[in-house]
Amino acid sequence: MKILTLIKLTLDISQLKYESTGEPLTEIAPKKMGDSDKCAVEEAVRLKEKLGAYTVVATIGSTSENERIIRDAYAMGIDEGYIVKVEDPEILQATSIGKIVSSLVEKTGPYDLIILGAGSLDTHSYTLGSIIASKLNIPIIAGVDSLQYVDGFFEALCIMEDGAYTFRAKAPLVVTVTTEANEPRIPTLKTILRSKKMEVKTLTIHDLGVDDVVKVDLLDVKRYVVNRRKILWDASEDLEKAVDKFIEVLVSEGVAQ
Amino acid sequence: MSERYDVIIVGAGPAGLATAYFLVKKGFKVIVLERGSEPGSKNVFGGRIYSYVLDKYFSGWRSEAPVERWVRREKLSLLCKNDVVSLEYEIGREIDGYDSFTTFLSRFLKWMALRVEQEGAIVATSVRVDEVLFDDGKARGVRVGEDKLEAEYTVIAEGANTLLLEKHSLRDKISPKDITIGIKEVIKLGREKIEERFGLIGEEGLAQFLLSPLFGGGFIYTMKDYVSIGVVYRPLIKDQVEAKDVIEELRLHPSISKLIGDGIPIEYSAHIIREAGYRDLMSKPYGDRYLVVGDAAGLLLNTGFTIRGVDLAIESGRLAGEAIDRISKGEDPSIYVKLLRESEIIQMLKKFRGVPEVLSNHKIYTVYPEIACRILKNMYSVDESPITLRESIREATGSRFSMIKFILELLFMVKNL
Ligand SMILES: Cc1cc2nc3c(=O)[nH]c(=O)nc-3n(C[C@H](O)[C@H](O)[C@H](O)COP(=O)(O)OP(=O)(O)OC[C@H]3O[C@@H](n4cnc5c(N)ncnc54)[C@H](O)[C@@H]3O)c2cc1C
Repeated sequence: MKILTLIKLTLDISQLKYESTGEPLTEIAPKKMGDSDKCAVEEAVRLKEKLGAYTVVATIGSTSENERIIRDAYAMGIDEGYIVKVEDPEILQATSIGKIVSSLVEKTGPYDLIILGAGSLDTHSYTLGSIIASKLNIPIIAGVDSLQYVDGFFEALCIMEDGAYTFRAKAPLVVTVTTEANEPRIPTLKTILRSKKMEVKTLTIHDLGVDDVVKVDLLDVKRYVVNRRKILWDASEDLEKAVDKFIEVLVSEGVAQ
Repeated sequence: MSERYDVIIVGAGPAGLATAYFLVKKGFKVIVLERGSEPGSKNVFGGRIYSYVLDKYFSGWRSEAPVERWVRREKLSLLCKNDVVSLEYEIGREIDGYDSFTTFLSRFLKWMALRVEQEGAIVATSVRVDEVLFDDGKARGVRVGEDKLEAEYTVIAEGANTLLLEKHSLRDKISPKDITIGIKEVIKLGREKIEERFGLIGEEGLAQFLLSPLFGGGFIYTMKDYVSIGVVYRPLIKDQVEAKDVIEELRLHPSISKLIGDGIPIEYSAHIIREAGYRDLMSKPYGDRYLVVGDAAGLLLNTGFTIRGVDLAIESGRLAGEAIDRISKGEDPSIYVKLLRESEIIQMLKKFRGVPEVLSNHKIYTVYPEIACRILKNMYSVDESPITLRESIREATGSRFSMIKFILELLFMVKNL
């Protein structure tokens, strides 16, 4: 079995700061492997441990930090890694990423399983998995909360608003996982040292036979602001009355009926 | 584990990375273990590094290293409640190169780590060393979680918070009175505003030191787009605000808030500072197969206005490198102390050994700034009866203590700082 995991270098949004005008200060925000991508890596490594799968990881980008996250994946147990060099990968359109990935699959595959995070921390369009599946013409199970391999089938549990669904599919397929899928392991000294010595392969989009990519025009990014009503009233005198007032406000704001 | 290294270095601060750099250049197989996710992610630092030490050992650094601004203006300010007295020194243009520069330590250490890796050492991050493995007093390597890593020599470069050294009883727990905390904030202001408000052109930078009854000692360093402000907190000063509010106090002082009040704080951090100076130096920063470098060994210079540790850390790393080379060729481990003693760093620390005493005299924060403000206020406030400098000094100091005592204290300060 051969597995390809896709990982993305994303902003650590928990550490994002903003201008007073609401624009995020992206240039100083730390970057890391996306949270659900990390779960995808963990899932691949577990399949490797259980079934002896060969695991490959790939990322798109052009900085030394891309190499860092490949090594982070190595430290978790991945066997081989590729960086596809593209400037400003964060504004690549998902269809272009799909094109790059399907060419990468042709060049380095075939793969039984392509696994990635359901959505990235920063742009989260949740479309990449489906685009890859349609380009490769293979099935997809999206938003997986738990993945098993049973009797030659991948069996996935997806918890949705209206219930828990179990899907099965045969390889080859695409799976996108949520951060519920597992608890990614913390690398040990031994695996970190090994990761430092492994080769990181780089490819250009031309190596993959892709000659043009489409970028998204980013018009504006603003912080999401919750406007608070800031209604205050004095409850020190008459608590009963204050509670009545509170309920009145909740009803008039449409919070309670 | 089968892998063996010649030297394991604990901590990728300036001391650890410098030790690695000099050792790997001498052909040792070196690994640096850092608990932070990247070199520099755990360090707190004000903002200035002195150039001389880089000129000596890192060719090409002036164009390569992540310099924010070259310090051309040095300013000392005494902050009173509303007034400020400042003394400013502008370094003449004809000077060849610059003596110091401002930088973010995180970026600077990333650059150092890159140089170290280019030379062939490994810098492994997210690795916290839990203990040094000793065999009959002889350091054999380290333990990280379940894993053991062995080496001929272990270098402890863990910084001011000496948990490993204390764990192995190689250093006494520091007494609370010899400890203070440095608190720092980075504020985004934008290049134009910085240059306009601080009177800087191009790559010029300002380093400013502050003394104030409100918070003790403080500093301001200008970066390209950011300003780093910080306080060396002295909890012993009477009526002082709490540590968590102290930086706010500085930021909101009328003379400071007009400069940076509209900036956006983007980083807040704090770190312990060892204050005992020369007294805090480890008398034996080595043992069988291990050495201690940088802040961990007490190699930090607190001149009262500035904290200097990075240049000393780099220099001690160089000496540790040379010592290990010589020890491996049969010399006694005490060669490390001998090299340290002969070096400028120990001379420098000796020279400033009176500082802790001066710093513990709260008058330098509480009384002197007030006096200075009063004297100048008297001199520059014009009304019908102008007063002389002598009268003004007498007026400002009179109610507090005698002129003679004031002069004696000033002399003591001058002698020790
Ligand atoms: C507020 C403040 C302002 C300062 N301003 C300046 C300034 O402007 N100029 C200047 O020159 N100096 C300044 N200093 C001092 C300077 O930051 C230090 O002297 C210098 O960083 C010391 O280097 P070091 O390598 O010895 O220790 P550190 O820089 O503290 O590095 C120690 C490293 O070891 C790591 N570590 C610790 N324990 C372990 C472990 N068990 N396993 C793995 N890793 C571990 C830490 O994560 C850290 O990265 C300032 C200090 C403070 C607190």
